[in-house]
Amino acid sequence: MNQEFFKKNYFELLGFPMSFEINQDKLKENFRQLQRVVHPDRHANKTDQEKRLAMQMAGHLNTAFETLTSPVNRAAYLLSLENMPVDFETNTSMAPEFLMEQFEIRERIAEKDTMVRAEIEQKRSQLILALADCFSDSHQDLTAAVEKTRQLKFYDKLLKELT
Amino acid sequence: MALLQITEPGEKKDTARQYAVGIDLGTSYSLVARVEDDISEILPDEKGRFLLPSIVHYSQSGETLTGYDAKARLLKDPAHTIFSAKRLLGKRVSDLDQIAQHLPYQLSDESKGMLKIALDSKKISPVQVSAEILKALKERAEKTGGCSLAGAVITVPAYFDETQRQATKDAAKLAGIPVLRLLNEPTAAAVAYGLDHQAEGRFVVFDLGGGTFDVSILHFTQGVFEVLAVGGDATLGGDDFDRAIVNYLLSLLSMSLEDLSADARAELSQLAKSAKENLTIDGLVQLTLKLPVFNGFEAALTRQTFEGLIASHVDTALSACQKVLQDSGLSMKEIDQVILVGGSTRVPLIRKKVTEFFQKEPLVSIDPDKVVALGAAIQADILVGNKSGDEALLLDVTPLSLGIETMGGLVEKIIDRNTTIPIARAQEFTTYKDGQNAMLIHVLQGEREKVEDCRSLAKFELRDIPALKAGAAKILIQFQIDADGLLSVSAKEMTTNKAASIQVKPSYGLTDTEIETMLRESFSHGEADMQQRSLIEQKVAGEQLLDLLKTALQEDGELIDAEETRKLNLAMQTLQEALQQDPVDAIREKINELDKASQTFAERRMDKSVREALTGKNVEDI
Repeated sequence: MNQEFFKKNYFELLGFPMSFEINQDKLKENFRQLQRVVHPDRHANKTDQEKRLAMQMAGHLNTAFETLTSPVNRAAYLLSLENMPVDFETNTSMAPEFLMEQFEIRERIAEKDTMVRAEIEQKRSQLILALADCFSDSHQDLTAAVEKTRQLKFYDKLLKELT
Repeated sequence: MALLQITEPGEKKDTARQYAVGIDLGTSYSLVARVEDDISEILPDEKGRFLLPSIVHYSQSGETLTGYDAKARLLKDPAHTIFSAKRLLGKRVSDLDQIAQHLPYQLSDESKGMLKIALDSKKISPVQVSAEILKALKERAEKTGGCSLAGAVITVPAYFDETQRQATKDAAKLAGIPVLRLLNEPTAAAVAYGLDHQAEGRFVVFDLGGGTFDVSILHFTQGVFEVLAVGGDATLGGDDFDRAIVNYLLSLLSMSLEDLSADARAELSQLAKSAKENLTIDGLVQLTLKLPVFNGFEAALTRQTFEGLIASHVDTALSACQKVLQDSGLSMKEIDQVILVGGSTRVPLIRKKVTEFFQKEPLVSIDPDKVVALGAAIQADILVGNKSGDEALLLDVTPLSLGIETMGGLVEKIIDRNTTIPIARAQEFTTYKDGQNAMLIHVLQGEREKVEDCRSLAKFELRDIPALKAGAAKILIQFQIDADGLLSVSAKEMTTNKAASIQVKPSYGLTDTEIETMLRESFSHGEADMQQRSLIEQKVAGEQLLDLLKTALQEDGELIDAEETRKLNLAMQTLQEALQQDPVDAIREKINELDKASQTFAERRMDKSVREALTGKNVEDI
């Protein structure tokens, strides 16, 4: 793709600086503003070339928005831009204590422990705060950020399974 | 005194409005609507009736009747009178559970693909039945409007899968209707309400039709309708309530459906339908069966008994509401309005349960039978270009997850349900044996983990993968869903960069050849008519393309340099000449060439409008 639109990273595309902390309301607002321009419905009576392009651009914008909306995907994307790939698929080695904790949570889910959901949500929120700290200018620690992003993925997966 | 407008020769002539309509192709009834003087209105037939029964009668001599004329044959000739064809779209007989045995007409399972309806010696596809209904609506629209249709927005249940969407689009093709967009029914209803009330907020649309149930949650803000989540059941509807009554009657009669003739089944189902309708007003109805086989059977049915019969169906609908609310991430308090859509929401038990569930009095100010078509017409008017750009935008989602089969008969999801469309998503896969040089790609749709629990959409083979060690070859599979919710899949071997782009036509759908054949059959002079029609179509397409590019060059000509402009002009001139004299294939080829030649120009124009959108914003922010 030799087009300005596709060369921008997701942050540039949606009008934000490259940062983990992001104003979600503003993000939604910019997303809607851009969709109002690129969406195929806006180009329904244009040439096929423009229609195709509109579909690709709207799809790209949807992916960008989805990536920046979810903390785990936003962190992973930010790290990939910093050349610190998270590799969810291939890199599966986790700290033993963390795996132990995951194991216990899974046991409690299996035992239908009703308190476990709130607890996972709380741990997840704490992790997101810690992650924001790793990305901050004052305490920047990208190696720790990679670790925490991978942990966050585990919590997201647990929550998804619980619904 | 008014001055006459004279258009310059060669200038764009049609400043006139384009004629586009919205079509609600329903299980029981269909409607067509248009926007006239900024108001969306349903088009009636010459007798003033708005609804067209979705029924088609096929006579021995090969003629067809649609709508009320066909409905009049339901009891007289049930084996040749096809109703509820929408429930058969994209299905096999085995998908239908108990619906099949309730139908008075015969179904025939095909070795490959969608079921067909057996009419004596002939077999027809449910797609053809739907096409007949669409033709009748097209005719009505063209008669009312006094001109031919530029296109239509056709609505489909949000919960329709790929095969059902494709089947609907195929039916439109057979009916000769250019489809501007397939639009989800609840989204269409929300458009009608949202624009009517000018109200921003979060809507639940509860849409219970004759044969399908959808529940959608939408957020309308900043002029954008965002669908947050959809759910439902593509096989739940008012028909099920009729069947519940039929089964109840059968138990009173101590009879079973297999013992009954087509005529007797038809009488039962007609009686059940009218009983259900009367029970929306009355607390009690008298039921009488006239055919001799029923021995003068009479019974009374109270609303209370009826509600007992349909309770489990109502529960199914409510649990779908629970699930979609969870998917949307909203709490009950955050819902501002609940909209009721579809004739079956007239059933008092449904209204009561929905009100209790959402703790809110639902909106019913627009006729639940008409609201979908009215919304579709508004969208059609926008898409055909009659509005100038500041109207509401719809962002819809895909209702079901899409994935491919991996080792062990499991499905790896590539696009999750409720993802905003259009969307493209790619994932890398690899080989599992040394030297493996081919790979079977099996595309599936559904939420379950195992292949056998999901809907198989298509299978295709990727060949000539370089022989490498297991796990070394990298194959990138890309799924793309367009704004109609339709899927295309492509695969690429990354080490050799060999692409195998495959347009996925669902294996349950009709093939292009089948559609061609059906189209040909529908013309009186077959081949010659087809040729004539496609020549006209290509000429119109060519002229449109030239017009659009001329306008675009006037607006943004400075975006391309002299050499690029020269090449584009040359391609335009070549097409212009081809339009005068060339055969259809040559015109098509020149259109494609011009389309390619305009790529850079199109890209720069898009980039420009994106830049303007952002700059416009920054100015506001300051």
